[in-house]
Amino acid sequence: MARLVLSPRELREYIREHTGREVTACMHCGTCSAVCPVVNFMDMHPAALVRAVQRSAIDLGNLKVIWACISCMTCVDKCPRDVAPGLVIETLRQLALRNGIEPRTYSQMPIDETTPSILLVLYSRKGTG
Amino acid sequence: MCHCGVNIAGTVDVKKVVEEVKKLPDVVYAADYVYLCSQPGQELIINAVKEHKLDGVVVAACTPSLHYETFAKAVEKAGLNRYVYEMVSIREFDSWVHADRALATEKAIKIIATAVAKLRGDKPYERARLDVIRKALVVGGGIAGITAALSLAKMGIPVILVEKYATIGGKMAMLHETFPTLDCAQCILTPLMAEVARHPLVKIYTLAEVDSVEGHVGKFKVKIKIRPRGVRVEDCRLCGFCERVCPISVSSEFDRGLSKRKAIYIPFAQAVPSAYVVDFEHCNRCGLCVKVCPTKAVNLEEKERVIEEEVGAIIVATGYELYPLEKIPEYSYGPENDVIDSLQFERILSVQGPTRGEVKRPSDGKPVKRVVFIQCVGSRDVNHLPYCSKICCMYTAKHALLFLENVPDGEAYVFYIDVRAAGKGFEEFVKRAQEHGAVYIKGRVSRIYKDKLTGDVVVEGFDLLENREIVIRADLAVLAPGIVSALDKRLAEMLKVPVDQFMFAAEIHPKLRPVEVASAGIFIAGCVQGPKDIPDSIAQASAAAAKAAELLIQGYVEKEPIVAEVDRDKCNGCRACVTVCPYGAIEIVEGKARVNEIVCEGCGACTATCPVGAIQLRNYREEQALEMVRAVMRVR
Ligand SMILES: Cc1cc2nc3c(=O)[nH]c(=O)nc-3n(C[C@H](O)[C@H](O)[C@H](O)COP(=O)(O)OP(=O)(O)OC[C@H]3O[C@@H](n4cnc5c(N)ncnc54)[C@H](O)[C@@H]3O)c2cc1C
Ligand code: SF4
Ligand code: SF4
Ligand code: SF4
Repeated sequence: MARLVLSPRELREYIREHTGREVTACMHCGTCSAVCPVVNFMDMHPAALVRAVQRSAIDLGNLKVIWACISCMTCVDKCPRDVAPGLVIETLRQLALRNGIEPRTYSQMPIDETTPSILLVLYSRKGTG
Repeated sequence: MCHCGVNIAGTVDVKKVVEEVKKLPDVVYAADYVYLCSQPGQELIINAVKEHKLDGVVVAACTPSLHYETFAKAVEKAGLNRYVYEMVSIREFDSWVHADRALATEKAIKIIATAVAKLRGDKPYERARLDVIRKALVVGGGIAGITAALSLAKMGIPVILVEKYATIGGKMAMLHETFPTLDCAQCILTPLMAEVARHPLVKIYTLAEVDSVEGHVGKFKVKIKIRPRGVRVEDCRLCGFCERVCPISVSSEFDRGLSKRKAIYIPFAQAVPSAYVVDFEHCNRCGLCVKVCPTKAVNLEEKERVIEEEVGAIIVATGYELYPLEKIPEYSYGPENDVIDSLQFERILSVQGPTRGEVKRPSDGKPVKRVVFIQCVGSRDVNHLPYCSKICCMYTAKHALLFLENVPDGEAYVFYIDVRAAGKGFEEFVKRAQEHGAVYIKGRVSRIYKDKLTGDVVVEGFDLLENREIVIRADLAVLAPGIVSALDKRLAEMLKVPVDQFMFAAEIHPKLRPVEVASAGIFIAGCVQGPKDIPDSIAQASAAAAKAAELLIQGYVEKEPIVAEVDRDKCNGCRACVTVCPYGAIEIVEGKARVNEIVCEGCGACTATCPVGAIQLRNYREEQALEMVRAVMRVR
């Protein structure tokens, strides 16, 4: 699957339907990216992802952040505008799986001594939609 | 009925309306005129009342907010009571909003018919006039309270100023220099403190708090509880002998815990009143101070007392506090960790402060070279305070600038979400700080901790413009906590100040009446209404003083008699009305509701709530409303 074909409005509504949250409420403060324990393993940090989602400018097939996110929901807890990036990511992840996009399993990821073990756990259990 | 030139007559067939209205029951006389508000127009009304011995008048014209009073005066001149006169709008509600002449004409007839129907049930009432005690109470002796008190006193109005701390001055006394002009806070504040203390019409009570408030606009009975000072103000010469011998040392609230003071102390040199004070909570009554005082000013036996004052108006200026940082544990707030709040940094910058103006680490006194400022701590966050605290962007820029001036080889970093610098000279001020070398980082801080090995304060965050994590090892972290109201629920209720969900005083109209609240005779000034800087606090305090003076100088208030009335036979004492009344005008007496006519503002909330229809608004009774509806149905 190539680029997401939803318009910004459609994607926003889809996310609202699935999370009850409003992605356009993001004020680009960066709290989510600051608190994310695995932000260094993402191709796009949570705040940047939310910004991209606002414009529906995402390439779901090639997006790594949805597989790197460990669903710790710290960003959901800390987001000062209740945008809940973690839930947005969860929604995108399920959207990807439902569109037949292969999950990135942990055999595909670089592993070295800096990789937190929680990331391994999450990589291995993210195959379900 | 008025033509209002062509404003009404252009759309409404005035002659036809008059003919139709004449046919309505009880209508004795109907006429039209081109401009009823003009002198001849008013004469027309007066003459008609006299000639036809009318017992009620309906004026159909522009709008009551424009000319209700004009015609009320005419009606009174004709010898009628103003409450048996009704004015209806056939301009705003009819000719201006409709194009179809026939329909607009019909609507005018209907509108007038309802007024005629209502008028039938109207009764004459007299306005109550109550005397106003020419004296004001100001609660809170910060810059807002001081300004309001001085302003009133200069208008010749006696003022009681109640301050809970040992000195007046509020938070401004703690500040070093003030944005955007960098005047020294003490230099501009202390002359005002002295002036208000000197003014013969101002009575200041420090260590004092309002204990109870009874009564209403014009006559509030206030009980003020005054804690003992332990030192006679008139006799204290500030020699400080007592302080030197006192064996008890506790942390200073004025320096926000960054220094120690004795159990007998003076908050700062220019405190008002200019006298030492005993901290009875910590004093062990050893009596050394009593012995050394050369003027015998110390009295450890002084008791708390309660005094009573009567005032006509109250200005509430209780100011603000900082958001409690314990609620944000990930920032490790505490001087021992070298993570301090913005007021503590003001104290550190102050030449009278704990470090005499040298920027040193609170934990070990090491000179600070690198400091990180964090904005929006608790503010703009639905998990804490959803609002913007308004002043912290500016004082953070000030802090960064003053630090860099103080420590020329220092580094200052500022984490921000947005820089809000809307104010005269504000943007230029932020630019000045940045030109001085302050580095602004767009992003948030996830955590701060003290590195036990190196002693560094480690600030971890995310830099949104560099798109990566950022870790700064600094000597000091300064947090800019949200501004919260110093009011609590009990205090707000006692002072009769309506509050919003954050305990900030709720003005009656945020645009048109910014210093008044729904309770008559109560005014607000300064940060009690919302976060604001010193110039805004002063402007608001001056406005509050002017509004209070309007009331106090007039010397009386006239009370509209259109208030709620209780039918004691119907009332079952359910208290529904008591709970909905926004003015606290209703109480239950002998099992039935009773309305305080002076306090009631005639809003009608109670009438809509009463399950048995026992409480009714004068001249807006349920039967009248029904008659009005019937009248509309009857036309045509
Ligand atoms: C770190 C920092 C730096 C700042 N720097 C600047 C600056 O550079 N320039 C600027 O313009 N503004 C600055 N401000 C804002 C400034 O402090 C406020 O605008 C100003 O102090 C508001 O005055 P106030 O009288 O409303 O409140 P306060 O100063 O809080 O005064 C309220 C007074 O009421 C008293 N009080 C409270 N409750 C009661 C009660 N129940 N009974 C009796 N008394 C009571 C308090 O003890 C206090 O004395 C700064 C604020 C902070 C936090
Ligand atoms: S924390 Fe919330 S408001 Fe801030 S950037 Fe992330 S999603 Fe946006
Ligand atoms: S939920 Fe995902 S994006 Fe959010 S903080 Fe946790 S790992 Fe990061
Ligand atoms: S004034 Fe600035 S620092 Fe303070 S809450 Fe508003 S945006 Fe944040």
